[in-house]
Amino acid sequence: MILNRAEAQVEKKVRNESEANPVLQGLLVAVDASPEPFEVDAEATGLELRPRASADRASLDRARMKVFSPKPGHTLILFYKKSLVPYSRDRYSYGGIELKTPQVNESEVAEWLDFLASGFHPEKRPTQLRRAFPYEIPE
Amino acid sequence: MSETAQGVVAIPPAPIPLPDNVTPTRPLNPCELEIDLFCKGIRIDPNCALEQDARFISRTRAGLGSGLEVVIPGPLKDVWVNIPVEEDFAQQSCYRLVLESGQYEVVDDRQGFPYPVRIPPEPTWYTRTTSRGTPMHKVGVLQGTYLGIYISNSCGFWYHSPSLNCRFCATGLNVGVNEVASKDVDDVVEVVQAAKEETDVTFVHFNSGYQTDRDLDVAAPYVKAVKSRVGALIGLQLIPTLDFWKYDRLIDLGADHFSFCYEFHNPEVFARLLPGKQKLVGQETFFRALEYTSKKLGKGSCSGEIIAGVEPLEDTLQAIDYITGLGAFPTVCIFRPTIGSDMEHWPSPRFEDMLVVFRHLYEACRKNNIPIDVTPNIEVSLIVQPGDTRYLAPDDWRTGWYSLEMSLARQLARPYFWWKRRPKKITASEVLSP
Repeated sequence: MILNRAEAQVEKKVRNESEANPVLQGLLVAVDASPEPFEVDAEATGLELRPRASADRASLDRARMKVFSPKPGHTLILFYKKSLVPYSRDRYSYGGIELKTPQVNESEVAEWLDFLASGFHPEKRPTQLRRAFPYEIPE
Repeated sequence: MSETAQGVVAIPPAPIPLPDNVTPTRPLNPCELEIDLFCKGIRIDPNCALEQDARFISRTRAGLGSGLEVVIPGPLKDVWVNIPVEEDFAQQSCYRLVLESGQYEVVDDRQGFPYPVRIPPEPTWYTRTTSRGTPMHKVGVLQGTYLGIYISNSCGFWYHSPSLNCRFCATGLNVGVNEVASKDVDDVVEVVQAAKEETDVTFVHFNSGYQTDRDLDVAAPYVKAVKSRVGALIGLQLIPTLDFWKYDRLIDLGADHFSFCYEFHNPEVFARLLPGKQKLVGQETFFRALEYTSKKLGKGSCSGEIIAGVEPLEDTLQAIDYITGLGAFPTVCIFRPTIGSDMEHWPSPRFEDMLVVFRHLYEACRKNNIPIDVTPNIEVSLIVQPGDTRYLAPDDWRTGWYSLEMSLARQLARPYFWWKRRPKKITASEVLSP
């Protein structure tokens, strides 16, 4: 579920991104249906999800899944952790997935969300994950 | 085990961490503090104003530069250290960085010992772009006082199936995220120029990951361009080759130093944690290349790089003896379980073990008369430099004699290094193989 979906900025962000990239339509259906709580970052480039951290899992607060399209028909999904240092611009990649078709498989999306919700546990790496991901990633 | 589209990747199981038994009862000297900060990391107090005062934190290359750059002042020399701040173990550190009456201090919460430190400012060129519009900080970064540039578009080990990446490494995770994937030669020249003029950089260090035996070929144009158009001391840290003529050519193009990251002296640990280096290069290739270049360039010019805190201590000490026995200097990295790497969940090494390593390193350098801290303005924040270990030296006549020799060498070498840093005409071809 997307906890902040009702916020005006988030709703606008989700709508704009979905219209620009059909991949996101399928993804968002899966995220909405997921029992895990996520939030959308309305300021980030592309669609960026973060798991909602709880008191005993504060480290989850750093984890992000960014979905963006460098060119039409090409979608990249990056899993990364934000820096703990407030002023730092650094990002800690855990790898990414490259999609060249607009269809997303439900079980694949479930893997991505599971990986994100775990804070990137190595045993939950998605099947299609490429750890070396040499694309220029916007902030 | 984790199965990916790139095949089955074995995550090395983390060993059970041993307790860290040492709580200092007197203030540590700068090198001891450096070692303990590498082992424990640091927490940043909310009252710090690092956004204004510090270099931005940028993890590039293998991942060691992921920390906060700090200078520990001291009577023998100032010690530069890139302190872990992002990794999980750093969140439990007994060390805190605080801002007290305008002065930064590292405070040890175990007994309250305060250590005044300096925070080097962010170079102004970091936020500029080259004439091609490339952000300069994505081309090269300062790691201490030298400029580090990663010249490949990622390490080839990461693209094998199954992946053959070194298990401690985060290189394949950084490029494209925090660095530009492919470095244009003209961009590199502009960044080196800016770094030389504005931050007094004397040494440029190029490294790359595995390039399918074309590693030196890829580096050659950058070496020639920097040496001929800017002028600087140039070091290369590349996968080795047994085509030794390539090293001869790189020297003709302007390379002054070669560094070989063979990481672990123990062959079983080498094979297990460095699958790409084991399968496609071999530990012996590292040894032969280090032996060749060390002989070629002379004592103190080349280095063997290893990681301490993973393989058995005695293997690390053997590595130090081997490297110094060749006339090279050891660059010993204290293992850092970097975020996203396969060894992310391994424990950071213990202070008391690392103290043994670096005391031994000093003795090995002294016994083999390795020049330390002779080249001007090269402070490496990612490792405990051989020169830093002077703080660990016994107070005896041998130490005094070695210090005197190094001091004389430093003075005598000044004109030589000034000459070496001038741009020069290079006639050798930067095309190594067609």
